[in-house]
Amino acid sequence: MNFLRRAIKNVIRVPSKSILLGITFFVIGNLVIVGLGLTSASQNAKILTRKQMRAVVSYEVDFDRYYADGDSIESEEERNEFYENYPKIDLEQNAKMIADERVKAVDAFYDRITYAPDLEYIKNPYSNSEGIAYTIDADGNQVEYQMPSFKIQANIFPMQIALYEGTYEIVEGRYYTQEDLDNENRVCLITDELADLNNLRIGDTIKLCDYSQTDLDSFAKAGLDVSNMDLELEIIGIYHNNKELDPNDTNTQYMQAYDVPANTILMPSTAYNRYNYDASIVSNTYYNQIYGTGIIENPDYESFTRVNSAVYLLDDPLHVDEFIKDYEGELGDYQILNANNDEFNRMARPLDSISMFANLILLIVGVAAVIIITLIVALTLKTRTYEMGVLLSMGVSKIKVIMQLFVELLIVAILGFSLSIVSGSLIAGKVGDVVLDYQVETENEYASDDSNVIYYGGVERYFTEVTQEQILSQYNVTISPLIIAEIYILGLGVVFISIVIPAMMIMRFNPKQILLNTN
Amino acid sequence: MSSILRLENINYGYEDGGYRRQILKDLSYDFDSGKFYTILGPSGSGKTTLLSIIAGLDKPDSGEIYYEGENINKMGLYKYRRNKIGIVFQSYNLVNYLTGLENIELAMTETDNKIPKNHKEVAYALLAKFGIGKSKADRLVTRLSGGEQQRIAIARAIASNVDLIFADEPTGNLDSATEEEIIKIFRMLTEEFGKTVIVVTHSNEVSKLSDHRVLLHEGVLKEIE
Repeated sequence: MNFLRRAIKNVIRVPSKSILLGITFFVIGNLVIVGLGLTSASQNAKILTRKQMRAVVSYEVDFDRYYADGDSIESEEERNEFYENYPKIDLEQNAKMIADERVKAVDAFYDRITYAPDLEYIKNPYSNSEGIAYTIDADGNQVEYQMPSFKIQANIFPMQIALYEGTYEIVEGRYYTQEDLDNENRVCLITDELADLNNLRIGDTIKLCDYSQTDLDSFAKAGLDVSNMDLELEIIGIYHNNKELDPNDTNTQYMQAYDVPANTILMPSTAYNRYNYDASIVSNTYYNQIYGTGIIENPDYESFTRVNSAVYLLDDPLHVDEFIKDYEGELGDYQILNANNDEFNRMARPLDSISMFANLILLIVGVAAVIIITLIVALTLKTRTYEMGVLLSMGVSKIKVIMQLFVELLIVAILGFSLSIVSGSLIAGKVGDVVLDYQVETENEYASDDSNVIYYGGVERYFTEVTQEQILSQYNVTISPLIIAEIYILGLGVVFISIVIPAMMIMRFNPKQILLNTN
Repeated sequence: MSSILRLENINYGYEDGGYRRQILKDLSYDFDSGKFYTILGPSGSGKTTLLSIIAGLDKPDSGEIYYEGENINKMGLYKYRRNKIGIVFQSYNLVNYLTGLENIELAMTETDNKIPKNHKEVAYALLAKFGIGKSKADRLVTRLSGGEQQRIAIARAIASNVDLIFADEPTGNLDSATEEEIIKIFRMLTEEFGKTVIVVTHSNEVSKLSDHRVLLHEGVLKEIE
C-alpha cells in the first residue's frame, strides 16, 4: 500500500472532499482557460498579421520630431544654429546593421534620372510625351531641352529588396558584388527589354550622363574638360523587371520614360558617387564662372556618400521588433528605426485591450486559486492531521506523506482541469467574440478620427498595407495544446503550493504532538 | 536474556506556568528481549511521555536510548520507527479510509524489513490469527467495533516484522471482555511470536499478566513485584 495507492483510495473513498475540490478546480480552470485563450488569440492574431507583413525596418531621420524641436526654440539665432546641424543617418551604424545576419537585403540607393544618348529607351505606352521640357538659360531665354530617359538605382549593398523578393530577376550575368562596391567598379545591370532594343550583351559598355547635351555644350563652350562627364559602365548582368506601369493609374499617362521600369539601370553606389563627385566639380566650376567665383563651394566627397534612409529587409517578420530592440539604443539624435509599429499597434489596440483584460483575469484567478485551494486544502488536511501523525509514527517519511497528499490533489485537479478544457474552450470562444465586439465599438467611439488604414509615402512604401479588419479577422480563440499544457503546469504549481504550505504547518511538530493534538 | 532496549539517564521536562516540571529524571532501565512489560503509574506521572520517547515519537532533553546496542538517534528516528518497533494506541489510530487488510499492507509496504511478497495472504493470515476474518478484513475500519479495530492495530504493529511492540493504554476504550482478549493477544505476541511488548496501562488486569510490572514514580522506573 504505497502512497500512490493510498492517494487513489482516498480520492475514491472520500468523495465529498474530492467533489468539492474538483468543482473548485473546474471553476478555476474555466477562468484560466478564458484568460489564456483570449491572451493567446490576441497574440496569435498579431503574430499572424505580422507574418503576412513585409519584414522591413527603415533607418531614417525623425524629421517630425526634429522640426517640432526646432520650431519650439524661441531664439532665432539658436533656431538657425539648430537647423544648420541637419540630422542624417550614421553610415557606420548603417554598416553595422547591414552586417547583421538577419538582414537579407537593403535598399539604400541613389535614385537618379540620367541621359544615355547612345541608347534607345523603352517608351511609356500610355503617354504621348516626347520628354521635352523647358528651362531658362543664363541670358533669361526660354530653352527647350530633352528630359532624361533613364533611371539609375545605385545601391550601397550587393542585394536590393526588389531583387531579393523577385521583382527583379537576373536573366543573365550577375548582380554586382561587395568587391565591385569596394573597388568602385563601373559596372551595371540593364533590363532584358533594354538589352533587346539596343542589341546589348554582357560585356558591352553603355554611356550614361547626368547632364543634358545643352549643359555639356555650355560646359565645353566655357572651356571646361567634359571628358569625365560620361559614366561608362560595363554590363555585367541583364535582369527582368517584373514591375509594370499600371494603365489604371491616372498618373501613368503623365509619367516620363525614366519612370518606365524597363529603363532602370542598376549599379554600385560607390562608382556612381565617384562619377557624381567628379562631374559636379566641372558643373560647379562652370556655374562659378557664370555667377562669380566662390558662389558654389566644391563639396567634399563624403557628402556624396550620404544616404537619407536605409531600408532593411529581414529574414522573418517576427524578427522585426527584436531587431529594433537590439539597435535602437545605439542610434544618434533624431535617428529612428521604423517598422511602422505605431500604426500597427494602433490598429491592434482592441487586441491589446483584450489581452490586458485577460491577463488581469489570469492574475486575479491565479492568486485567488492559490488562496482558495490552499484554504480548502488546509481545512481538509485538518481532518487528516491524525493520519499524518499515524503515518509519521510508523516511520513514513514526511516527503512520502506530502507526496500522497499531493497526488490526491493532483488527481482531482487533473479531473477538474480536464473537464474545464471542454467547457472553457466554449466559454472562451463566446467571451472572446463579445469582448472583441465591445472593444472595437469602444475604440471606434473614442477614436473615430483615426484612420483604419495605413497610408504610405516615401520610405513607407515598403511597409505592407494592413487594415484593422485584416488584423481582427485573424482573432480566433482556440485552445491550443500549449494552453492546455499551461493549464496543467499552472495547476501543478497551485496544487504544490497549496499542499506544501498546510502540510508543513502540521508536520513541523513531532508525531507525538500531532497525535496529542488530534486525540 | 539480552537487552533489547536500554535507557540511559533520560531527562525530560517542560515549562508550566513559569515553573519547570521535570517528568523524567535521569531515568535508566533495560528492557529484556521477548518479555511482556507493563508500565504503571498515576495519572500525570509521565507514562505516555516515556512511551513517546522510547518509541522515537519525541526526543528527551538528555540521555540516550539504545536498541540492541545501537543509539536510536544515530540510527534515525524514522528508520527506528519504520523498522524496529510497532506502536498500538488507545484510539487505534488506523487510517480510516482503508480497510483492515489495507492498514496491514501499509505497514508491510513502508518497512525496510524483509516481508514475504504475497502481502495480502500474509495480512489475511495475520488478521485471522487475531480473530479478524476475511470479510471483516475487507471492510473499512470505521465499520468495525473498537475491539476489532484494536486487534487490527496490533496486527499492524507486528506486520512490519519488528521485535518490539509499544502500546499506550491499548484497552482504555474497550469493555472488560474485549480487554481480556487483547491481553491474551499481547501474551501471544511474547509467547508465540517472541516479541517484546511494553504496555503503558492503568489496568491491573493487564499488568497482572505481564512478565515485568514497572512503576513510573517521580521520574524514574522501579520494578514492582
